[in-house]
Amino acid sequence: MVKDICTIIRSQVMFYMDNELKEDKRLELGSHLELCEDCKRFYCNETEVKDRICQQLKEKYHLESDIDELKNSIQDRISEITTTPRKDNEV
Amino acid sequence: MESGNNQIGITREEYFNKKFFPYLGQLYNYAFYLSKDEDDAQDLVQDTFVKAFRFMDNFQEGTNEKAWLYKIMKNGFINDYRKRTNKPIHFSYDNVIETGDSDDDSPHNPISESQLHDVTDLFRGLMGDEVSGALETLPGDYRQILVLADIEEFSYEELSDILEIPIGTVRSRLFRARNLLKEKLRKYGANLGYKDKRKNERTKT
Repeated sequence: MVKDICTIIRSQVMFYMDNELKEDKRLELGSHLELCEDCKRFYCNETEVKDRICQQLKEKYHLESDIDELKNSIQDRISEITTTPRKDNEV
Repeated sequence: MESGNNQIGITREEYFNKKFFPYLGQLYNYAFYLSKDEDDAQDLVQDTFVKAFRFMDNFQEGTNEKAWLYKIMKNGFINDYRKRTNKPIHFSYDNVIETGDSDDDSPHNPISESQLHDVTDLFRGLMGDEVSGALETLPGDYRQILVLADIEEFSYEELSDILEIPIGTVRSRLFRARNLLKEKLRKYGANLGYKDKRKNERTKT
């Protein structure tokens, strides 16, 4: 049976990994991880899983295409805009 | 921001190039993720940058350029989808699965005890295609926030700005999205024969 405090700590681990906890909560969680082996293991597992998933997704969706041509096309279109009147109707 | 020269000796165009073009590669990757097609991705990026230039006066100096560009792209993609399909895009599961807008740090679903065991072995053998395949089966809102958080590495505040949702919703949505993805990968891995330690531990006890 997991202790209540550990359940609360583990529910915050994702925010700790993402560095999105306020300072006092971050310190509190860090202190608990130093003392509680089970929660430390949970944290290490969560970190590894997240890193693996992120790495796989980054590799999958990273394009190797040369973007210089794309940049030139955009700059051409922008140059056209600077010589034509603007239409301020949407963003 | 004023039109014309923004700083002495710098034209509006030069200012735009300096400020926004460094994000071109990242925007292109995100466009490819959204459209799943390189040509469509190029069109989407071009439209995003042109729109950003056109409405550069709306950009608030000192705020996040990258998040602003992503928001324009996301809205452009959604609007284009609406035009093509002639129906509103709506893939939010938030109202069904989560209660939403609380700024409470705690997720709404407590972690079950079975989730606390070691599951990393299941993920060690998975490949990019398997992970992206599982990602594609998630509800759209979950896919979107995972891509922006874990591939593009936006902070919660930036995600709140781009997705136009409260930070509390960012937290709960991301929490559920990651757990759902892990659960799908765990099932997928188990089907492929990866050993699930949790079952062994339950059998022992």
